[in-house]
Amino acid sequence: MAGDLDVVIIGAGPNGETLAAYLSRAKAKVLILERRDEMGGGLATQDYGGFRFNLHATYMMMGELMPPVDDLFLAQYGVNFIRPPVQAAFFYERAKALTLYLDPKKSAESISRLAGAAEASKFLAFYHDIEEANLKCLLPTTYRPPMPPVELATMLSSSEIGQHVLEWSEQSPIEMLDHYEIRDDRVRAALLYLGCKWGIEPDLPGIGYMFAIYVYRMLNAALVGGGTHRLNSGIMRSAYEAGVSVKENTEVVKILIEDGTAVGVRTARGEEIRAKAVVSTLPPQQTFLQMVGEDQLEPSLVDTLKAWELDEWSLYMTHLGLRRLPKYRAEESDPHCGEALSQIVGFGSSQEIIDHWKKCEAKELPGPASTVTPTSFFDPTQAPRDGVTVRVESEVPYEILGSSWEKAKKPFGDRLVATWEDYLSNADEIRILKRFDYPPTYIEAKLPSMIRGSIKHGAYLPTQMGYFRPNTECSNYATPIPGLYTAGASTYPGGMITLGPGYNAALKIAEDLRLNVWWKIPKYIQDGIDLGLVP
Amino acid sequence: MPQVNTDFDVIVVGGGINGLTAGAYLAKSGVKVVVIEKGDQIGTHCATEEYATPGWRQNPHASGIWTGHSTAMMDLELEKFGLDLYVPQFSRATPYLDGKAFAPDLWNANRTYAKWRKFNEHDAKVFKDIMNAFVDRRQQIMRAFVYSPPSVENWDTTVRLFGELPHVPSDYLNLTGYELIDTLFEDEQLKAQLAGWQHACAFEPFLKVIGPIGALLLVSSFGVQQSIGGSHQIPHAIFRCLVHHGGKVLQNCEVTKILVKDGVATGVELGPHASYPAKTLLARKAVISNLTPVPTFLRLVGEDHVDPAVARVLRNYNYWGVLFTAGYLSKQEPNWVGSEFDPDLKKAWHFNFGADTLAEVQKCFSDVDRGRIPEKLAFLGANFIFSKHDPNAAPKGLHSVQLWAEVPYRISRHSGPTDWDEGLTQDVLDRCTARLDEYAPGFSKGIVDSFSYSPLDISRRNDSAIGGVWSGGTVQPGQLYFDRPFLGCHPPRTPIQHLYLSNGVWPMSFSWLGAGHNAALTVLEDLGIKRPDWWSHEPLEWIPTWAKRNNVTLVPKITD
Repeated sequence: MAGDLDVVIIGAGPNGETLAAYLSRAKAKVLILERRDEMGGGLATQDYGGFRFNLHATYMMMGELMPPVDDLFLAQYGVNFIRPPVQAAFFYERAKALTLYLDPKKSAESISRLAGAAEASKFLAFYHDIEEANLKCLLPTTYRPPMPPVELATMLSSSEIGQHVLEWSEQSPIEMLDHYEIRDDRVRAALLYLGCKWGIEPDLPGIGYMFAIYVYRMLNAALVGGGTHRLNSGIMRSAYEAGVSVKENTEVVKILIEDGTAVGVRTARGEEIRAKAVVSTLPPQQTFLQMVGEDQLEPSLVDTLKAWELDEWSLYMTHLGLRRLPKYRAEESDPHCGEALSQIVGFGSSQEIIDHWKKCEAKELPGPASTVTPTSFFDPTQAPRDGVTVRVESEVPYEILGSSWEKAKKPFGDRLVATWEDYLSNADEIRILKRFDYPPTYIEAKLPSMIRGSIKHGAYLPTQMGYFRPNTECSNYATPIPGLYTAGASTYPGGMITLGPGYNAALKIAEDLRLNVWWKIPKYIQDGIDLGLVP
Repeated sequence: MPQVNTDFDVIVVGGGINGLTAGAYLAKSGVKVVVIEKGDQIGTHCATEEYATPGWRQNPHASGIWTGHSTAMMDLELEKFGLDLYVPQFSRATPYLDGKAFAPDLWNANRTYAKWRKFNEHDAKVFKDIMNAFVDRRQQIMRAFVYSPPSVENWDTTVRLFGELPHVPSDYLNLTGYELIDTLFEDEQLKAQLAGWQHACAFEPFLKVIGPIGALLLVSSFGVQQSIGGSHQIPHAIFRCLVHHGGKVLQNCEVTKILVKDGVATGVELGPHASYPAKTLLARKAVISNLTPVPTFLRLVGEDHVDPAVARVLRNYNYWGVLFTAGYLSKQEPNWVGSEFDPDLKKAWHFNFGADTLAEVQKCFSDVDRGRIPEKLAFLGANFIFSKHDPNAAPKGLHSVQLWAEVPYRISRHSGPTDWDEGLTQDVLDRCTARLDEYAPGFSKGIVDSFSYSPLDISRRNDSAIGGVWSGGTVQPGQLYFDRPFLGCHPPRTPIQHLYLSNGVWPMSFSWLGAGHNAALTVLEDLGIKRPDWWSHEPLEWIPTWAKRNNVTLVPKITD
């Protein structure tokens, strides 16, 4: 196996696998090394007596828009997206809900019932703008190489949609809501939560465009039929057929550098594997400081790498196997709220959402608000015939002042569940048959690349986004070390299972290795390029 | 993508290890094959999961692995495809509460013989004679008994080879396992150990025919292997072999129907949630079911296509024989009683304990038969310290210990198995912990995490494992050898033309990969394809090559 390898990839997560599949279809000889016994990284579905718990990612925010879906024939390899018509429900008090749908007109009806027609039309105006910007510019840009900010601004400034995006790029999420005059706090709270849930700070200027991306993605999310691990299986099936090799239970401890060039890796068992290119899907500290070594790096790069910021929050999840599907009190007034993919309970106002994040930053346990997903309602294969699978998650700090997750794990889960049950009309019937509490410390223990539970390998800050991810010297997947590339969530466009880093890195590496770039730019991306909205 | 797929010669229903094995053998022989699995993961009964603390890898089903005996190790080059098996020296170790202990040495028969002598000179002599004669015959026995489809010829060979072993009475098939053990041996603890091991392996000692054969096989058993990285590496390796040779695997696809036309199986239909586009797949040559008999015939084929007499037999099919799994992540390994008597106990990774006398073994199983949790829980067959030879099995500095307790699926005083949802699981877990503390005092003080896996969990995860059974159906008269799964079936062939079985037939489950091998062999024969040269058909070839590579000297015969 060794000797004639073209590419060795560290980490069999979604990006490493995507990269492997593209490069091997370009006739490169590719080997993936995985520390765990199972592939997929954050695409982890585990079977608890027929209850399938998606321990990390639950839903996909890009779905069929991910170019690998077509390029790698993922449908033929069993990847199906289930896109629930009801996307999110935000529960107020104990018996009211605001329900948001794939179809914005239906969302507007729910908003109108709760907050009046004027508020509904402001929502529609906001949604119209972000939808257009997402479809024509922001989403296709995910699958193009990152462009330096000045060039990007120049390109965008020539069109109306581009100007919107540039304006948003100056604003904070709250300023964006103000701009669209969305005043009703219940509507504001719902949008703020959806748009900021994945680590966008509500009052941080300079990331409003990310808020637009996340609100849109959170209202167009899809499950993978069978569980998120199915996406991993599909990509790998495609990769295997193209000849990719994988070694599990193989931890890489060193990236071998000879004469300033990366030539291979050394495993924990002492095996040396050489290849023309080495690709790490791990965060920068692990790739460079641990595996390359500071002695091989310029001091300025070492400083930059050490300044890499992780998220100040992580996720707590409790995975439940129930006897019955939960029903909400609010279903009397808003009949579809219980059918939502994301059911958000425990927040009374937008201030409470902001306070929730502040508590995370202050390393305090936040109030018992959570997002609930009744997975098997959408996909019955994820539960046994006589049960229901539900996931309850909450944004929490990695570290708790004066306590530990070992101590807080169970009581915090108890509080989340009790708070959620308060909103249910059949709390005494659901019966918890299985429960698995999964605190941030477990995230890191299972997937050590998520340092301190940082699920995106690094915070979404203006200085760590776009062209700057992870830093200008390592932008566009190459590094100052010839032969060494990066392609994980710490590279553009970031985390969240978009397959973007792996897809974009494939282009860069294929060009550098003079491989045949066999894949075509999808039409919706080409359209964006033609309109001058996409690099 | 068309709704009907006609690409395949052979369709295998069920991606368990035997289904994958059948598929891989056929794919490598040039047959176009697809394996269809309902679950997300292939190899359900070879799962590796992290049910509790991450980094703590449990194997809730197959744990001690018999795959190293298999023809597939060499034929399918499973090591090349990533399988890393370890052959531990001390397996099936037993601590007894009176301070004695028995830890057979599976690398060196002389050392095992010395251990028998510490218990009983007479028994040791009998063991020596049987073991030495068995070693000369074991490849033949395994070939005839496990790695060949059931036939009169193979049965006669098997019975003759066992009958030739010294001390075995000529009418041995007429004895139960208990009776044969009693005839051969004197020592109560050794007898209990053997009988318990027999129960656990489903060679039920209270039966004639299979009872005495099981006793002789297990007296001279060669021990189990550990799959480094977890048991799930076995299906991974077979899968990669299958795909490498052009086979396909469809996961998350429930087969809802095996299509039968004029008594011939023609293909399958997939359920509404299947993840692949085509909903009907036609098989040009054969359908192999890797499901157990009831789901195969009553659910998928349907009673319309099954002889009423067969349907009646199947409705009464016995799926008895289940296990409760208790797992512990611990700061220390169990400090077993008896470690002074036999210090090798500390080096062992695989244990049987909890029934110290034949009477205790019988009491335990009699409780289980009556739908009771045994008063004295016994852990027979497979209790492992996974972290012993695999540092990846537990987070650094911690140990992974797993117990299998013999329990009933349904608790008789209630109606169904849902007691396992109602607090029984925690209750049995607590009792397992307490019982382990009797045999390893103080163990529970070092526990940092635990998990449990009930028979209801097993059947919910895999509804082919009816009643949580692991063996594909109880091994008992009417469900044994030729008659397995039912009289008139001629397994792996079935009364339905072009329909074959790779599970629930003889040999029963384990991780022998025998049933999958035999199904492939039979299909190939029926297709008129000559067995390719790489298909050696020889079991037990891998272990000596492993030993040589690892500088382990195997001493299979007793020379002392």
